[in-house]
Amino acid sequence: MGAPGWRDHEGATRKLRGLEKMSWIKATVQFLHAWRHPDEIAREVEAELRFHIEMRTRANIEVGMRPDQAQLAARQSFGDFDRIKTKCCEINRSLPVDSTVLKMAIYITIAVLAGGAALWAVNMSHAENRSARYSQS
Amino acid sequence: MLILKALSLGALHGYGVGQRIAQISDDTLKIEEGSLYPGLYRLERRGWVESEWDVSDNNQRARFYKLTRAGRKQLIIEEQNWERLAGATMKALRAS
Repeated sequence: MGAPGWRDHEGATRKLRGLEKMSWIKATVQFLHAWRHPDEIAREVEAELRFHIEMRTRANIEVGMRPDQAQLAARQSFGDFDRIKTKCCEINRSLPVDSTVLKMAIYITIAVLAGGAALWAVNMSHAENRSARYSQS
Repeated sequence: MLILKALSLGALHGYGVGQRIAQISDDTLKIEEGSLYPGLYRLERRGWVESEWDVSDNNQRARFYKLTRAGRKQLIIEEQNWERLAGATMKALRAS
């Protein structure tokens, strides 16, 4: 029945059964996590891709390849490792929405909030200066 | 659609998804192995798939993917769209 390890992993299936919650909240949390911990995300992606190559190498050995041949063939059939890793990391850091309009709305909201916060900070410092001048006079 | 279909049969790691697609299509459909992962990540972004790290059959840490409820609905939609498209194409090809 094919290469090892492709069958359902019952333990994982049981655990995952509890994860039937909606997903855009989770996607947003993952998006924020990916921005806060880019190195951790890159490590996880790399570990996942390396696991795949290792599984393919084992399968190649099982069909009679020498270990070095098996690994080379696994890398070749996988494709450009670095490009795929970069792509996966980019997807992790992308906004969890498909709509361009919604993305624009999110970017504009962030810009408006950032602008508002900057104005508030400037006004606060002016107000403090003014009150300091009044108290001196 | 193929990834969603593969995961509709149970949780799998990325390598397993590729194996299952090959198996259910009698080795006719083979996705380029690496390109599977950006696909899985995009599906997860859309909320159609969830993932969790666990231990594989050979006691290695692996990320397992599972279809969400939204993913299951999406699979039905995509299957219907595909049947419509395939039906229309067949009709066009048979037209004299």
